[in-house]
Amino acid sequence: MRLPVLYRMGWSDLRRHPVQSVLAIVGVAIAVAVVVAVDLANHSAREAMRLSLESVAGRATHQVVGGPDGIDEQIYTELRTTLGLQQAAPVLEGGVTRPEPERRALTLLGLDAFAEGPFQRPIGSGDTLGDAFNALLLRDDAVALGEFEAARLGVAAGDSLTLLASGKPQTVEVVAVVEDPDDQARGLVVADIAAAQHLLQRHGVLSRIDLILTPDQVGQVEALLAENNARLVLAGASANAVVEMSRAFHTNLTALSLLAVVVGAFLVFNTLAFIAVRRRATIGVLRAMGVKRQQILQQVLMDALLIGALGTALGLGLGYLLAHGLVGLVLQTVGDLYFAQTAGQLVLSPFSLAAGLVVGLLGSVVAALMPALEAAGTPPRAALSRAHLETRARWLAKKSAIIAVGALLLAALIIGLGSGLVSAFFGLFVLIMGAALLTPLVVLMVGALLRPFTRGRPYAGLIVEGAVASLSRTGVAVAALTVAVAAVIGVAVMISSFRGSVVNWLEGSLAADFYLSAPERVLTDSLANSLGDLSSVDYVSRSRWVDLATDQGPIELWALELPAGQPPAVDIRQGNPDAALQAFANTRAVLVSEAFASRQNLAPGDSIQLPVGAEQQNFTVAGVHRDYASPGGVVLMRRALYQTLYNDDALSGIGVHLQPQADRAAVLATLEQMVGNTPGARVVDNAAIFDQSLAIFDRTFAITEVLRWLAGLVAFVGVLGALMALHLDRTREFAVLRAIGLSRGGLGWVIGGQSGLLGLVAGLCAIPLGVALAWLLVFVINQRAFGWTMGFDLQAMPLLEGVALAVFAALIAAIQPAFRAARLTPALLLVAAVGAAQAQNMAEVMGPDIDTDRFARVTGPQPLVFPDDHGAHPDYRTEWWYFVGNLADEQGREFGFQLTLFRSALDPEPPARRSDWATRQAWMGHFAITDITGGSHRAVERYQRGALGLAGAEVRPVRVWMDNWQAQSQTDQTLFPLQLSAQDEPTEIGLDLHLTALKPHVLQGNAGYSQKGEDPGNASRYYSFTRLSAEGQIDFANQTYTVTGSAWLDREWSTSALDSNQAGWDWFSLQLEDGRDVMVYRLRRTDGSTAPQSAGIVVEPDGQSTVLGADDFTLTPTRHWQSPNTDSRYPVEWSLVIPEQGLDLAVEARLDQQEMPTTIRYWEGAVGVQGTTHGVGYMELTGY
Amino acid sequence: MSEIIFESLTRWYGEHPRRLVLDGVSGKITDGQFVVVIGRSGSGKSTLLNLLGGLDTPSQGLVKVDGVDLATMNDGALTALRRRRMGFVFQSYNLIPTLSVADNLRLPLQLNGIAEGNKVSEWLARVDLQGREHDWPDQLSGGEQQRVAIARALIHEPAYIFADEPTGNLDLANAERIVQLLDSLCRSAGRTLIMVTHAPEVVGLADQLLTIREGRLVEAEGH
Repeated sequence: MRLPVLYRMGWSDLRRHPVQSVLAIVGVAIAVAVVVAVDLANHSAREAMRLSLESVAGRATHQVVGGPDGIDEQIYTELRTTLGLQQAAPVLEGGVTRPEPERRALTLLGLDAFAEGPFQRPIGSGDTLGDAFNALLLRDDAVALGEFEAARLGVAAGDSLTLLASGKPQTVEVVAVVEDPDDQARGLVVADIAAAQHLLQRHGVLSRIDLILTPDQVGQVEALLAENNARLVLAGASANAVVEMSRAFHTNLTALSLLAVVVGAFLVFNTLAFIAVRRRATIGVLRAMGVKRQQILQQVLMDALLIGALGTALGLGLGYLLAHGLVGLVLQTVGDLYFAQTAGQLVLSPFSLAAGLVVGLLGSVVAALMPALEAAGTPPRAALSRAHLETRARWLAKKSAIIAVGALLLAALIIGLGSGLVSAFFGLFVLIMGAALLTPLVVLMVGALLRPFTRGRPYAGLIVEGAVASLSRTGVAVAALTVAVAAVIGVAVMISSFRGSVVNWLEGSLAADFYLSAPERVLTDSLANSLGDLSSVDYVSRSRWVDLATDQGPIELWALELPAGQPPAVDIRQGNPDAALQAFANTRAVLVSEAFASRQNLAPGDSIQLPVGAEQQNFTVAGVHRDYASPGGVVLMRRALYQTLYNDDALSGIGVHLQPQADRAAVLATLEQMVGNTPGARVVDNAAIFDQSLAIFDRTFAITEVLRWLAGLVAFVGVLGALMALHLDRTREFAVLRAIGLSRGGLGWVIGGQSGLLGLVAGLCAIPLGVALAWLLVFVINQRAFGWTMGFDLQAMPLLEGVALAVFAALIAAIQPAFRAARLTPALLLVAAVGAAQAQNMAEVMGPDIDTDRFARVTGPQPLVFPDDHGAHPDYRTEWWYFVGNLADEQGREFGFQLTLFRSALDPEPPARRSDWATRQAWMGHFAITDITGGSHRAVERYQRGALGLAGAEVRPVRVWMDNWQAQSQTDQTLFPLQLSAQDEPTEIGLDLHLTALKPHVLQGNAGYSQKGEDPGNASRYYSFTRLSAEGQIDFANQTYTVTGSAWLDREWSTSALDSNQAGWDWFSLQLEDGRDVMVYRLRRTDGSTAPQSAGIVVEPDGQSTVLGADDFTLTPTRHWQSPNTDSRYPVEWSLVIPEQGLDLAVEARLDQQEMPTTIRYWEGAVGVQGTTHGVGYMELTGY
Repeated sequence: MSEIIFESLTRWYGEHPRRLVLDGVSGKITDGQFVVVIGRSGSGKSTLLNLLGGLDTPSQGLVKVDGVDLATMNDGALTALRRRRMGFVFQSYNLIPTLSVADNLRLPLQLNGIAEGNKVSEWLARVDLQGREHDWPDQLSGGEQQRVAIARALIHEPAYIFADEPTGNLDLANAERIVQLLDSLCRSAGRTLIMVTHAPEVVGLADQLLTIREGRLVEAEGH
């Protein structure tokens, strides 16, 4: 049966107005897309940050420090293994001198490349070092330099360098010269921590441990340190500035996300309201014919839902695509600042989808219903009357202006009286609504204002009246455009304010041209005096930074000395600047930073207590200055006062201010020469730091900038759609104008003029709203979020850009309708139908290509001796302990897990080196959990050095571990029972399983000799425990599940396994219900054929086993799955036939997405078995 | 019993100042009459028609249709009354532009739950538009559109037809044709036809003539 005519009207209407319909759907789609994209990108950025550790910058948040002798290196091991901290890096610093040919003081920086990832130091991490990585790790005399420092020292990679370290000359080899465009490694010599301990003769100690901590972890670390002679302090100021900036980045993204929702909702409203207005006359006819109000509303609702649903569906898809692009950008920003190995995927957040759905569907329905309700509630005669509609629109414009004033007052109240971020965001929303409600009245007022100028100018009259007369349609369009453009303006002003403030602050805090620092307290006043005496030096500033311990936590004190009459370059935000600086210079008064003042609730004139020796003394706060660096705030005190009170003459740094005409390069050279005898002293060029800081800032805000333009694009498309639809709707009116004698050009002018006028009105309305939004972002939202203010940098450019955007969009929107109207002849018009990398194997992963001949090789069968062979075989290049299993909790929720610890020898010779950090073993761990029932897979990869107890394998009892991942036997003689545990906080996965062997081990291949290639030396030693009972706990996404199930252990070691013509393998471990266990693997050659070394084993319920050769089984892929992340196509379903065993099995992935997001991608996951019998298992697919 | 009684009908628009459009008009229209309302532009004819048809509400006075005061009816009842008992023909046709000719005719049938049968083609034949079912309103001439509008107003066989200057947009030949069509279709079925018009030639056909001047009824003439 056909749908009643009434309910077909909507669809018919859409078909008869195809252009308008498409515009409406596109309008909704774009609005939804932006909401979804911005939110998804935002959410993914957060997720990326969360994964790489919450709200943390590219540097440490905290440091573990000790006395002058440093700290015990074992603290580091405890942090990694006991607390399982992943973002911890050891640092050993010491002054060294290069005596010849020109004496130069350098800082030797000992780092651990395995731990550097998150810290983003100039040349610390493994990936920047390339092939030199092994040399640095294995040798005591290997160092790396930044390119500019190498040039200054006149050395290249491969050259030797003599350094005076720990009082004696030592020769080192520069094994790497690393790109360092910003010369951040000026004065630095970087070595592995083991080498640094050797060169500085400081075995067993570290200068400090850099940490990136979440607030929860701080307490744990402090508790651990309480037992040691070490303490936890906040990391350096510059790092914290970045942390704070990053938090700002977060908050501002959120604000932008909300703005996108509001803008999106307005665009949807505009689009749908327009259609409803167009149908008003039809509604009048229907009402006259006796159609019930409710039927009309139903019909309108169905239409709105249709457009809303189409637009929303399109928008969700579009948003997802858009988000992909944005996420790339966000992650680039994040990657600049953060280390985020596991991030990089678009995280689908239910909130994003919900926001898109709400904006798209609910927005459509509300937008369509409001005018429809109005029309259906109007007497039919009036609904048929256009005049009535416009009269009512004017009346409504005036009414809504009154509501608008109320809304603006309410916004002011909410913002003024509230104190939290939520009230600020709510205030922002009410402000936007208020401003939007005001715009129709502005259109009327502009019309009234311009009317006198249009007398005697028919074109001008047509332009003004046309724009004003259709208020029912133009009002909402102008409001939507205003909101969108205001968002563009607001964010632009906010960014420029932010940048301006950062520049100001950097200029103040980096006021000196050069800054001298030294790792130990070696800077003296006499050095400062002699620096000040240099002819090109104007003056020097002397700084001392100390942490004062108080009951409320440490207070950062900065004691600053400047020549008489030279005020500190700080920006006083509260208090009279002159008076504050006077008081600072002459009395006991101090200056405090905004964050400190906000935290302690201080204002100028208040007094604060600081510990001086054993007593507390009061100091007057003379002023509050701007400082973005220390989140806890800083107290600035005159150094003379500090010296008197604390009896401390030490200097932390000396700032060198040059004469205006000084030759910077010459002074720098002189300064470096002067500090040549001060070991470890470094001269920092503040100009470089300034540039670098701004570069970080700009990168951080790149995403915001992109989102701003995206909002602009939405505004553009939105207004384009709205105005185009408006013009198309007025085709008849335009035809009349042509008919009464308006030329084609004239009509073009009228249409363009009307459109441009509306754009201009919207643009002008957007200026005050945009500025208000920026003000709110700058002074309220950022202030409430961080405790510091920014300047308000209102420049003409963003405002003009906003207006230009609005006018441009409006003019573009007029082109097609003008062209169309002018092209057709009036008569026709009047009757016109308006409607018409992957193939790498594990061995390659495990280390650079080094000479395998020097390692031991597996060449034939050899008896295995336990428990020793459960431990490490360091003479072989590669080895792994591989645990997998299928588990379920009592409710039947199923999980799969994989925990593999890989050992890789970088060198066959054990190190003859003294440092505990020295090693030739690198460890890699892969940990994954599949929530089969929940359809989710999470995985993580780790690296660690096999030294200092950080990673290793022992026997009696067997213990294999990397940080806090470990397998530990419960007895000295046997491997099982065994406790397997691993936790990873960023991915929120963990396990703690008790494993018991249900069958003895089986030797794979020929008595454990498993030949993998044609060369007998291309083989591994291989044994398995094929059936383990497992019970314990699984952690997944913040939930803990008590589970039982079965597990499997594979042990394998080799030096060289695959032939060069082998591409990868398909490996299966299956545990069948009939008690049999099956392992088979197919080695694939590069030409796709199966290598004859493919093999397997069947283990009977009693532990007896039968080895399978390549001809004993057939493996055929039956279904493939393509990874959206890598495009790799994995065979995820197989047919496995073992005729001799009477097995004909279908092996199917329990979840397709079990690809490991590790350095080398492969597929490893839980499988189910069907066929002649049932079972579970694990499958590993490599080389795809 | 089909009958419309109106007493002291007054309608003004706006409040400051009030614009009086209809001023205390009374009368009675009985079953099967052809009532012609004439008067100059702006005299209040269309307003009277809208009030009688329940398309607008009076500022003062009452309208009784079939003995029921429209003011006592809620929106639902009034809507039902219009749907079942009335048909409207407007000067500007007011066909639903996005529905085909046939669908425009189907609409009142479906609204009233009347089986369609051959009614659509029959009515198109009566207004001499056979074979135009699938045309869109804007593909028809003015006269043709008005004939569709008449068919739409009559297809569900209402008791009253309200026609507001149905010939206002048409040439003489077409106008005559429309009036005759309306007259014959109404008389043949005993329907009451109330027509507002400027056309003096229609007056001769009227059973009752209502002449409105400046909002007042100047003479009520019955044949």
